[in-house]
Amino acid sequence: MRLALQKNLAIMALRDLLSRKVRLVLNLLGIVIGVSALLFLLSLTEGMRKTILRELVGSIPITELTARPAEKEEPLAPGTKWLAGRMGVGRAEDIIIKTQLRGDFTDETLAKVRRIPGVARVYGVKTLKRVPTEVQGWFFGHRDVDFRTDALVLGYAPELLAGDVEDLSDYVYRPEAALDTYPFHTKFNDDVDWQLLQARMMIAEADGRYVPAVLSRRLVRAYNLSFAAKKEFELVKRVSEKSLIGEYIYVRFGRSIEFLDPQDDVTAQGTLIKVVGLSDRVPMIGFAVPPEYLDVWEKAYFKKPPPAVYQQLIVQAKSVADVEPVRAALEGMQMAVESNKETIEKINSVTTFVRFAFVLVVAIILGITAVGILNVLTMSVYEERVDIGILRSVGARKGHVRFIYLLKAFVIGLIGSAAGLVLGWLAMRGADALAHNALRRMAYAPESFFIAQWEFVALSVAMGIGFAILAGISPSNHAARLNPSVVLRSA
Amino acid sequence: MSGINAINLTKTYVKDDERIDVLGGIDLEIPSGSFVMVLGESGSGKTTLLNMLGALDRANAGSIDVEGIGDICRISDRALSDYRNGVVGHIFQTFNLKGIYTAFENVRIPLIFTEVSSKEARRRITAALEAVGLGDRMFFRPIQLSEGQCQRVAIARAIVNEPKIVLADEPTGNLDPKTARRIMDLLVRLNKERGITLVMVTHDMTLLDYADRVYTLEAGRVRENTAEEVTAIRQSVAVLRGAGGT
Repeated sequence: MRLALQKNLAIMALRDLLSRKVRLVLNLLGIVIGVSALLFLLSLTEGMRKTILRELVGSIPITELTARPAEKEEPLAPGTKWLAGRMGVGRAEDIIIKTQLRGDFTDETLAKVRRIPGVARVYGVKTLKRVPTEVQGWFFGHRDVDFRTDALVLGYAPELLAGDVEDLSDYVYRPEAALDTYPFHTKFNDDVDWQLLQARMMIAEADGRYVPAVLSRRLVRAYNLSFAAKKEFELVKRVSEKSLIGEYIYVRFGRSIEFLDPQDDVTAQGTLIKVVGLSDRVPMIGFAVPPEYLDVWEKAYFKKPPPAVYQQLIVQAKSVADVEPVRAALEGMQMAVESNKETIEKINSVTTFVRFAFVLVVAIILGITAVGILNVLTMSVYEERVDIGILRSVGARKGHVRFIYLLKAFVIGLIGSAAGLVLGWLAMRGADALAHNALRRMAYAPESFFIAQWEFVALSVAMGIGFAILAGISPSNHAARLNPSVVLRSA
Repeated sequence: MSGINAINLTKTYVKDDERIDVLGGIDLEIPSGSFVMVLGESGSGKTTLLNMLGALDRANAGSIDVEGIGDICRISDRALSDYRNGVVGHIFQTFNLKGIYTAFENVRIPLIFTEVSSKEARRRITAALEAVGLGDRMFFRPIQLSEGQCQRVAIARAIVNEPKIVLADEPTGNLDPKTARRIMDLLVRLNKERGITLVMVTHDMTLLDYADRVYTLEAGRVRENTAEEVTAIRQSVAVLRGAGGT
């Protein structure tokens, strides 16, 4: 069909549609509701999936496995239960890795693991498990944020934090910053200590004398949604991930909130750490530093060089297909192995099922709408039968008439889908506002409960237009088959 | 030969198991450029005959050769559409104009299916509307026009593609006598000036004066009226007029 002819027939179809505006709106309603519902529900499932994955898996790749010595489980680290209750974030195990006190791997073990087929890379991770480590005092340079807790310190190679530290050249071992010469007191609450800490921070910033550290991304969310939401600290209400970069925290070794009464005035050796990134790999109450620091701190505490051992291995498989064979091989080496593959696959399969169910529900809605459109278009064909007869009498082919009615159905689908997208977007924004208002104190509440992807938009529009065109097939065929001599006689 | 040559044209309808022979083997010869009038009572098959000639309906049997292009009873549906677009123009009793379109847009409809430039289309539409005396009403909608003007728009639509044949089905049936005369004068003018073959069906005997040939349809059969018969009918009509009839 010629382009000019198509254009003219399209104009004719549009004018016919617009000449009956009420009918057009009624036709559109079903499509609008169906398309907006589909976009809303698919975006909701994606939002849910991403939130669950973020909390359970973070940004850790699906091909990664974590291996620890398969020994009997040790009790939780000191203070863990207290913290869990205080922060209101659920199980104590979520805060600090419960297996932190298990046995060790040696360089020999690492070499063996590297030889397993399907293994791409292996990293040994040191944990400062023998040295009690306490962070206490004014967090992030704010005197208002003052509490103390035990922390888990991990030695991570820079490659493991490549996506988490903006400037990896900042995440390096600085020997001069490993230990502070000034021993702060346990009672960290007088103006002298505050001024000293301020001065120490200025020196660290000016001379680069700080230990670069990466904190837990989950800690920030938990802080915002528990401490900040409960307004425990007057000055610091909420912190963003970005705002934490560059902040300082004072850390002391040989101290634990479980071992000493907070009121005891005892000195301990410490250092100043500077936040250079946030990661999902780091346990919630803990931080990661370049591995060299751990040797220095252990040596300072035990007064002798530490053994070359690792408390966990991070093993990266070459592909998703290699994950299970590598896991089996590691378990054969008496290791307890964790991987995200199963979790991710379970979440994805549940999400896919829910999505399928939603698509089915919306398909039913659109199916009912399509029956309505079919009715209205059939009625239109009857009402416009003389017009169709005229078109046929002046040279329109059956295909031209069919084109006009299919185009009407397409336009109903297109306008309905476009309006549906707008309505769906508004509904998502409205639901987000309502949910945030209602769930203000919920831990892990995402910024938005909806993630609209282009695929969802495309699917919603395709279904809206597709069902409208399906509804238009029968009336358009009927219109094309009308006998002009019969319909013109009925005028 | 040029013109229309129908041979043994048959059309049968089946309604409630009853077979109705509307056209029972009609032979018809219409010379090119002539003005032919087909008379007949209601239900005699006049419109059916016109629909056969205009390819709006297909005959059950027989053939129609039009202007030497072949038997239109045997050509494809697409070819029939092209025939309706380029060879014939239709005029209906009820005008059949699109109410939401202006006169200009109504006349433009046949040109949508013709490969002409928009400039040429505009020229043809303007010429057609001026030919029927509606040059100053081009952008009026049917609701803003009188019935006579609406029929003139329909005539302009029928001639805009410069057809060889115009088929008119009771074109004055909905018009008052004065307007009917004007429409008839217009049709005759188009017939004479443009050489268009005009086939008109009517049951209005008073219009016989305009025709070159008159056919009568009775019981599914067509018969050409002789000059004497036509004269007799004219005289009867004149007598009726004199007595106050129409």
